Amino acid sequence: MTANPEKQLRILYRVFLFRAVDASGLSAASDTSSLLGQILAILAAFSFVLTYVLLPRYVSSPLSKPRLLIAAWVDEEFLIATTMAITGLFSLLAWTVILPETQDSTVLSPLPVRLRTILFAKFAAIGSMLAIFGVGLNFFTGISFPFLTVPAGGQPVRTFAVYWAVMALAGAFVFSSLVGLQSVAAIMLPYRVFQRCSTYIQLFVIGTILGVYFLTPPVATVEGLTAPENEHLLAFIPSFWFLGLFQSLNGAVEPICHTLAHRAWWSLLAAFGVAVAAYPLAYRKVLRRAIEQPHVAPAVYPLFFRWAAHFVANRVFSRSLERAVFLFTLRSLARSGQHRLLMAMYGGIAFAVSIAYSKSFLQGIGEAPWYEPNIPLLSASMVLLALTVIGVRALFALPICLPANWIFRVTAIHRPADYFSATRRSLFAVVAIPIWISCTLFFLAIWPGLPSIEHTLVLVVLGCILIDLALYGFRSVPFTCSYLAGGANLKVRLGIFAFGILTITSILSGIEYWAIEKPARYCALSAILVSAALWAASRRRAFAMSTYNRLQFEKVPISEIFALDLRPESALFGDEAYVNAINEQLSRPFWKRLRPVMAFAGILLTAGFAYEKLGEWRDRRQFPQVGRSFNIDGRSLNIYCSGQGIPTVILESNWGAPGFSWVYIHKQIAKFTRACWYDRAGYGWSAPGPFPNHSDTIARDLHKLLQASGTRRPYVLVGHAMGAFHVRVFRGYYPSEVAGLVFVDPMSEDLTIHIHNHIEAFRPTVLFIDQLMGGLGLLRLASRNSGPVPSASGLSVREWATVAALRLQTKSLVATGKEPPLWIGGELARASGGFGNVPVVVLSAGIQDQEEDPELDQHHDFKMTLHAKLAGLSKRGKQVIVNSGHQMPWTAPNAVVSAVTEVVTEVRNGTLNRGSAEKD
Amino acid sequence: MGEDRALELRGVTKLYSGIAAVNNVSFAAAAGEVTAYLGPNGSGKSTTLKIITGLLEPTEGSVLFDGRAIQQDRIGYKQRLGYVPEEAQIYPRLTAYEYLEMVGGLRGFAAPRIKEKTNTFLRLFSLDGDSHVPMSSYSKGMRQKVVLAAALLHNPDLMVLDEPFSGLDISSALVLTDLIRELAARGKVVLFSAHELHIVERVSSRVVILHRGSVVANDRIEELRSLLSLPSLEEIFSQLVVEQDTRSVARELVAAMDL
Repeated sequence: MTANPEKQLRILYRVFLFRAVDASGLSAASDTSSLLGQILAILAAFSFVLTYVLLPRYVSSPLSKPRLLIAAWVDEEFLIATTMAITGLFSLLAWTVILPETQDSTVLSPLPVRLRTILFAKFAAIGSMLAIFGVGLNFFTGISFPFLTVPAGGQPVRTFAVYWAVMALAGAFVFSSLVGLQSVAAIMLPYRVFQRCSTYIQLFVIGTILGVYFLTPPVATVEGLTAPENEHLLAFIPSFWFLGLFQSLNGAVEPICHTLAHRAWWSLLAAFGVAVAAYPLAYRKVLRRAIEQPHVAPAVYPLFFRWAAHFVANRVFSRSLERAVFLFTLRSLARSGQHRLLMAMYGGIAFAVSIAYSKSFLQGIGEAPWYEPNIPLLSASMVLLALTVIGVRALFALPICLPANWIFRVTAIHRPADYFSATRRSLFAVVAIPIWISCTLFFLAIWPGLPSIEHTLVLVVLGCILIDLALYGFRSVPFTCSYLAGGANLKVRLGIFAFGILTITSILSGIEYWAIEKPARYCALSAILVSAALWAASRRRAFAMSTYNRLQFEKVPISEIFALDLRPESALFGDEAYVNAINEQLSRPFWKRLRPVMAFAGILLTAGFAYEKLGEWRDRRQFPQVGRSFNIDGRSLNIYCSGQGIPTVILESNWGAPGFSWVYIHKQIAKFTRACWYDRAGYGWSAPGPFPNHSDTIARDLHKLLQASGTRRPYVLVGHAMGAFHVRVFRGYYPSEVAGLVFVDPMSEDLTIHIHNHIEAFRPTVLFIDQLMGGLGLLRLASRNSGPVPSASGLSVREWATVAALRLQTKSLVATGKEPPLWIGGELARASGGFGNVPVVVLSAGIQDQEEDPELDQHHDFKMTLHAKLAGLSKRGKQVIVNSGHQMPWTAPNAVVSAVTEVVTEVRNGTLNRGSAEKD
Repeated sequence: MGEDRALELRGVTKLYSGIAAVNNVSFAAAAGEVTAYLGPNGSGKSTTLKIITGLLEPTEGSVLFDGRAIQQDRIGYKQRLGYVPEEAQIYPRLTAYEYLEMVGGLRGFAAPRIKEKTNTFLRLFSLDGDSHVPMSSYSKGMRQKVVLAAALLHNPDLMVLDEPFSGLDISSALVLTDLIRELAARGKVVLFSAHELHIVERVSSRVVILHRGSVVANDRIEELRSLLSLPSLEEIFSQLVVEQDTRSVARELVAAMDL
């Protein structure tokens, strides 16, 4: 009877899939599905972190939609490049499975399976594995990012589909290229040479992938991609090709996208073609050779590494037990594929996070240059240390070749404390010391001496704390204790840990940055850290020396299993039964076990709170008050005036914006008359005011502020969007003081009835959440990078950062949250009546881009007529349509300046004609 | 070769979920003698040997060495015990040299002494050509040699070997046979289990046969021979332990191929 090839394909596919995942080869002791789960969890956690870091920029950006989409190119390129890099690295780990191994020849050759079926199954299995990892990596970004970057007139479904399609194609490209490379090498080189060179080829490819990934300059913008000096980059770096494909499939019109998309298609075709052509040939050749020469001896481990390991072991460790454990740990970590994989992932994530922090330099928004102590690099080194220490400690719990641990049991002739000490020293020697040394060298190279040494010392103390915390409760020789799959629940913890580590290191690096500035502060910080280290060390020592402690080789199962005597057969070492007795964790009631979680949560909250306070302190120093404060009804309001002449131009900012956002326009206006911007209560540098804070209160506050500051009348009021309501209400209350009005794409009372009504019910909740997140520092953490400066706005990088920082303040969030509902302002404005004879200019945004509410876009024409009507409220009013979106102060500041100039000129001419000016 | 009972088992029982894998086993292995521990697969041999080495705890009964229960001084006992497990489990990514070096370190020897011992043992086992290659490429027999070397490194007084001959080629088996004899001649207690009955016959003085967890024979070979009137150990074994009619089983297997 002949076998069904389809069925054979399915069976082989499963076998190869699990082998591909179990990268260390067939080792019966490893639990493949849980390893798969762990890898997926790590990738998903990484995706979550990326989403958390990238997303807020899109949700709360003041940029208009089209500009936002172009700015998104940078992030899209990053996501594509990351997917390609991860796919490449995983393909490398499956390197040995792609071409046939000895098992394939001995097991599969005698069976009636066609070569075609085997090849298909292998390709499909490895492809599936990579697809699963690709999905894991893009899990959170893939379900959020496409929906936030839908172009105007586009459908979310299409963006979503394009995102996933391009990621899949990019991954397929990398995989096919690597398979092609390996197959061609196998065909061209003699078999023995190929075997020996395989490792070196792998190393070379890893280096290339990582190098390209980390060193790709951030030129993924339209200007960058079309610049002639970047052409050679475009030829070599595939992530740009797929970026182009992504944009062109999404309907972008720039020609560079189509060029790059073409390149992507051709390269995909070429890679796939080479792979499909070369792979069967390579497979056959390797299979034949494997059968002919089954006992090709594997390469001898190079002499240098042997010598180096011995050298370190003999110098650093005096006792033979410690030397033996250290060498065993080092060699096992270095040689077990599974452990290498997980270690590479921890290290890779640490590197990626570090680079993500450092990338802010390249965008020029960092607070300090790279050659001076700065927070991103401090943070990055701490993250690297923390993740690798915790990662390797987690790996210590994963067994290698568990049945072979009998040798440790049979030679367990020393005190348990000696073994624990040996484990601890091994952790130091394998992870902490290399990182300390490299960080010291790195920082000494780029920073002045003293801060480098100070930072190194902080790293050393932190490393000691981490190691002592991590090894508390660890009772085995690394890799020799069995692993209870359900118990540890690494996957859930991992997500929490990733978030916790990032938050804590952000806060710590902020504190360290603050402390490096003065020796007294540094001493205080060191004192705290050193006492923490001593506490952690004494706690661990107490554990290690405890009389009933034993060396552990089996994870003790939960007490129910004990009671029913369902212990596994190769059961407990007699003394290990004691471990249950002293392991109070297992018999504690649930709420007690929850205590560490609550303590951890408490620490996080306190840390967040401290971070926020620290951030506010830093912001106060970094962004000193611009303007003067005046006391109005027991609270202070800030106003900044400059320039000479009358009338005085008063700038009223939009909902949510501090007065400082007018800084460029203010400068231009101050050239020909006196101009002021101010902060409403709760905004910028003004103290919070009483609520409700609708347009009436705001107008009255403004009036009192202008009187208190002695600002000369008459005023020309400029209001942007919702600020127009406040301006009109002011005019309604104090008509004699207002000589002219400029409305910058104003909100209209006949439109506000349509806006936001449906989410009015949620506003208190949203406000509460905003306040909570703000108070705990989460908003600050999320908006570390304020994004690129809008190019037309005229603001410098520092000014942009100031605006962003001012918006972040909790009092600002509260004030913003309480100003709506908009219709109140609208009705107040409607009630304030017409403008009489006063010169009025209404600037209307000609470009439809109001992302606040999609309904507004439909009412664009209606809005135009409303603006015309508004201008008609004055006998000397006019409407000007400006080629800009709603955020006119950023996108067309000069239009605003010309409108103000016009009104001021008319006021001056009118005054001259009348022959008198009103003075206060 | 006196009457001092160097290794003694008294009423050792091991229950797994109420089922006795080892049931009230008692015997003694004297110093200077070679004791063979025989029985079919699943009879409880490996379990007993693991209990003797302390890897498992007996449910009842005790193991004594030199008159003292091993629980009383585990560390001292382990220092005098050399164990070669079934299936020669080693860490395949380590080389033979690194493995023996690690064992020496775990036992607390100083580095120069470890180096000398390791090199000597590797040379004597003809492994010095492959001593810096990962053991994943070793054949079963080579791994067996490495594990044997690890057991001999510290000059133990008690040698427990679980199926040490499986996987060895003829010359290595001969070396091992002579080694066992030599160890006994030095006054050590040697206990081993094996399936190669012709070797057992040649080298051991005492035989313990286990069947379904219980001891069915515990005597010197000559006495067993005369007791059962059977000339060879294989026939004795067959008589006491083998339950199937081997010929009919073979016939049924051939018939099954046509199913």
